[in-house]
Amino acid sequence: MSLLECRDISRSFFGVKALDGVSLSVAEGETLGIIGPNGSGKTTLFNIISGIDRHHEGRVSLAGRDITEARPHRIVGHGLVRTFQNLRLFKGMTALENVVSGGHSRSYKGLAGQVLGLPAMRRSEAELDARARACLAEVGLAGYEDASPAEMSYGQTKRLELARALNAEPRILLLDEPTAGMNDVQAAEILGLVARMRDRHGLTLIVIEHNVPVLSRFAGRIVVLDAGRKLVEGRPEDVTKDPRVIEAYLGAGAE
Amino acid sequence: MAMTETFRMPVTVKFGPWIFLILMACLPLVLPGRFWLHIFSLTMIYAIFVLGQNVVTGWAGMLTLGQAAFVGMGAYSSVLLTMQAGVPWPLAFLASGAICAASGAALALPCLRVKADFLSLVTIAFNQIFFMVANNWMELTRGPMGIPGVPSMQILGWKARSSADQFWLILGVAAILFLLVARLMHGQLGRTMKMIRDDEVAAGALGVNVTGYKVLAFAIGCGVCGLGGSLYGHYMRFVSPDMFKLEESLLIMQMAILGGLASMPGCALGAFLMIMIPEALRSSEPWLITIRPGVAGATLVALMIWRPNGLLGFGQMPRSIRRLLRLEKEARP
Repeated sequence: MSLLECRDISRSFFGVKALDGVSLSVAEGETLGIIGPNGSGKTTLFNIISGIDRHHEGRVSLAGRDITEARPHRIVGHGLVRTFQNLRLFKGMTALENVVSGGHSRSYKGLAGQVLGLPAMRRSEAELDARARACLAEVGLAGYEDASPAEMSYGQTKRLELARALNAEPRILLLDEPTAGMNDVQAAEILGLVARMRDRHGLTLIVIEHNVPVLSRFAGRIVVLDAGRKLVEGRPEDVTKDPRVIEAYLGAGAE
Repeated sequence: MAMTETFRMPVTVKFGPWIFLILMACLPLVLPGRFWLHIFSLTMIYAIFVLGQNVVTGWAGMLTLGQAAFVGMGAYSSVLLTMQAGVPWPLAFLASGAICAASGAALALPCLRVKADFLSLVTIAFNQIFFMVANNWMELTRGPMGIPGVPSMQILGWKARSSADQFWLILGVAAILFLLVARLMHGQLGRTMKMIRDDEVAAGALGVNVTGYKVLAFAIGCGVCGLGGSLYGHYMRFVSPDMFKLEESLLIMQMAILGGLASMPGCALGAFLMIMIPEALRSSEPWLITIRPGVAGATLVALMIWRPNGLLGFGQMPRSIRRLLRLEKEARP
């Protein structure tokens, strides 16, 4: 059974169709890559799945549960977590606090408990702290707990966002261009890290990526979007050779 | 900040608030005359207003400019409850907090539909509406004449009569409020509010009910202002609509910014300076009197240039000071 199911997703912005009847399904444990030229609707699809954009047609279901109308914070509760192309880290917090924030869904929220410092609250905060440190270590940022995101390198902030997403304990993780702006070596490093995370925590992944050669070694299946439609879907080696894909990327008539 | 073995605060930071509280409690014994005691009592009351503003603006990141309306609502609620309905002051005090928390939550709902600058405008409008109502509802508020003869704070037969009594009572209430709010802001609630302040979309994508927490921030912030308002009314022994105009909201906001947003000690420091600067400039020198009204404004302009996050704003504190206070670890790979 598929873990995530999107049926006939359409979304227009002022009459321009960003997505036009896209359907896709992802099986538990699978890694799905999404590629496509700029403006082909990749991020729009992520926004719709994660509930940030709810002005669309079509249905989305997660583990058999319809989440089309659900608000983002509910969707996280069902185990779907996403990252952002432009990171969206919390700039006023340290690296550790950023990762602790990822565990918001698990945190103790009772106001009286916080005011009185009840043991349940202390346990929850201690657990969050320990988990966050473990997540930081897992992405290779041990020792950066007190650093502010502003003082970290670009590659480190990308890792920090992964750690934050990991602390949300996802079943399915949506990564929006985790290697944007990186060279092949750095990109392979990040995707290698993501693959280790996937294997250790049994994650299902959907990854938007521009670096097709690096993605091909990592994703089991690739979907190509072009102008809001699903152009091709299949194994990486087949997709990258498909003439329609080459045309979409290089333009009609290109040799 | 989570409780861990690795994060150890130096003694001065950990016990700082308690030492400060003890020193403050000794003030009535050493201060000459009632005037300075009055200034310090007023500062503490304003610090409570700033605390309320800071929850909404400093932690949750919403620029509201109508806190004086909630101060006024708290003051009038408390004064009317004690004088008209004969409710004992402690109950009226709590009731005014509850009334303001509920009205704050109600005001949050329209506020959440607008962004940034428009939120400020909505709250400014609310402040104006409150002023108009208080000014015109003669039967309830006596309008611009105000309500004189308000009884002083009284707890179970003990009445705060002398300036020192009032000072101690206000100090106690302020200390409790600061402690309660500090517990919330340094824990899960404050962290979640900071998530919303820094990036609403990311907060939502990590499971934060953004709307719910914004309403909660309004309820807490306005509730605190209402409690402060009750103290204010019974301390001044008089309430009138003029005391809760927009200028008052702006003053509270200036204090919050001067002290440093999202800073607990900053609330007290901001209130202290904004009250003390005009007092310090009271003089027989004509030129000092001339520049007096402009000094507060000039202070803020200077602040925006050199310390845009406020005096105690954490982000702007030089690294050397942060290390000195051991708010930051030195070793780093």
